[in-house]
Amino acid sequence: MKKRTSLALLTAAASTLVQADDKVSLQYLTYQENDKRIAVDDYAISIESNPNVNHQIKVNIGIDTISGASPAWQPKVTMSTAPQIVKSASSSNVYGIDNAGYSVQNVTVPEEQRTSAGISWLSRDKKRHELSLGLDYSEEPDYVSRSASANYLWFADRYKNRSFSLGASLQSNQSLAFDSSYQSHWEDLLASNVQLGASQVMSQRSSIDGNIFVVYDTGYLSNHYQTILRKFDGNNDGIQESYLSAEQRPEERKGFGLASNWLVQWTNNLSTHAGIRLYQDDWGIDSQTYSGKSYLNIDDQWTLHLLARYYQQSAASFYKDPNSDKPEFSISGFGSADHRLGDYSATSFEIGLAYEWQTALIINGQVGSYRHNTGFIANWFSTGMIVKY
Amino acid sequence: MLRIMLRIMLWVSLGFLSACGHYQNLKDNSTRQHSSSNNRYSQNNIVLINSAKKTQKNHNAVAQLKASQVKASPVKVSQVKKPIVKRIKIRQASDQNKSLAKTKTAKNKEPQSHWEKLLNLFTPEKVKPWQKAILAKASMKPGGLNPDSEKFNQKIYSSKESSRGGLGVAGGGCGCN
Repeated sequence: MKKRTSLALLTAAASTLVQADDKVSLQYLTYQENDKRIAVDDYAISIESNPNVNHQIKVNIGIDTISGASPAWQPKVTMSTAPQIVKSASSSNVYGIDNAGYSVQNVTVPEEQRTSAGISWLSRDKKRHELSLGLDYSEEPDYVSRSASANYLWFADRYKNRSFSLGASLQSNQSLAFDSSYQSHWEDLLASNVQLGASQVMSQRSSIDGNIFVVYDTGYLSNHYQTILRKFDGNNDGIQESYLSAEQRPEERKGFGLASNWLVQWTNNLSTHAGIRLYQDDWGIDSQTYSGKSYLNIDDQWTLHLLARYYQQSAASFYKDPNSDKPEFSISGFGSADHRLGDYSATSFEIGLAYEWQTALIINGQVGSYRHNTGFIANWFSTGMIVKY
Repeated sequence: MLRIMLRIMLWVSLGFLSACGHYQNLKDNSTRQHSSSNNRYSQNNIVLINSAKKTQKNHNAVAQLKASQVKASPVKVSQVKKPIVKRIKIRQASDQNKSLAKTKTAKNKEPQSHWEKLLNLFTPEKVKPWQKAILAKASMKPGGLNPDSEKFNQKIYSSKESSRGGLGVAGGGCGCN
């Protein structure tokens, strides 16, 4: 009995204080949208170091290149300057008027390279409660983002089967914006996020986690590439003309939601993750996300992973579908024709294989597809390796 | 004296034969979980069985007994091997009790409905730290085997969808057009 107790204590000590492997991960993604729209090449490297059981440091660096085109309203022939009365009446920048009309075209976006870097530090105290602090920075020609985050996780029971966490992040971003004569200038925006989470071990093979979150964004939240049509009687002849204008979104956004994940290992070879997320904000967007992921160990070295995800959202109150009968907005007020603010559903599938060599090297590759019910399709392939040392 | 010796050897032979029967019962009844703890007994029993089989094959029982009497008497078989037979008997009895208990429990247990099975899945158990080997696997982490690849996916979703949050607070922003 004594031997058994001491063995159990030793095992317990070993399992709670086991030190994670240090590792380096190199990943590459190539992403392509249909209709010759956006294409992305993304390289990411991350290094995880565990100097002892109480500390963990993660550093990540990423470089991605974006090229292609994005759909927006454009003049059919040529555009002339809008009268001053129209500019004064409009709440957003008016670019001009084309009497031949407008159409949604793929507007070529300049090839951009985005570089990002982040560092996070995790510290555990005597009771194994965790404090994580993170800093991130990214820069691209038309966008700069700086963010800081903090998260505290504490265990609520002796065996560490239940934990709670409270986290917050603040992003201070700058986005390039155009004025009415296409002169660019920088605009500020802040994005914040607070999350309260809980996690519960259900059995030796399953656990559940969930969280409620609040997001708050303020500042310039519009997309400077996006355009809309505004109707106004600029000539005072009783006929309303259509003017090409910059989109205008509210300068504040409050959202909240909840998310939950259920992780189960059904057999020694099969584990699944089931997730749900519900979201709502004051722009009128309600969304639901359902996701399922499975890992199937084919043998000791090969693992097959499958992912299926369904997303559905309602349209923002200030969104008008450019393909609708009346796509124009009034001369003032919020308006956007960005399909990402529209009413649609999206399905996503991914299949991947990972090969583990002597628990020191993992090579992975996956292909995925993402489709909106509006006809938008994107496909990707990613590959990489993780080296443990 | 010869009669007494003959009787002793008859008992020993009967003991061998019964041991053979015990071993086979043990083999049938014992579960895999007990196999490692029974190895010591099983190995002894294999020797016993082999001897018993040889005894059975010999049709001339008297001659066989006489021969075994001569071989067995110097090593005092009765003193050495009898306790082993006893041990096996005890083991067998306890195993039988266990299997009987299991059968009774199984019989008394009513079959669970699907609803009860589902409820069981969401009823937390007290899992001790040394029982969390499965939960510690990478495939049982929210980020899965490859958290960086998962980040790629999240980047795609966030650039094409208008909701955010619920995935943790760490990470930077993106001016995804």
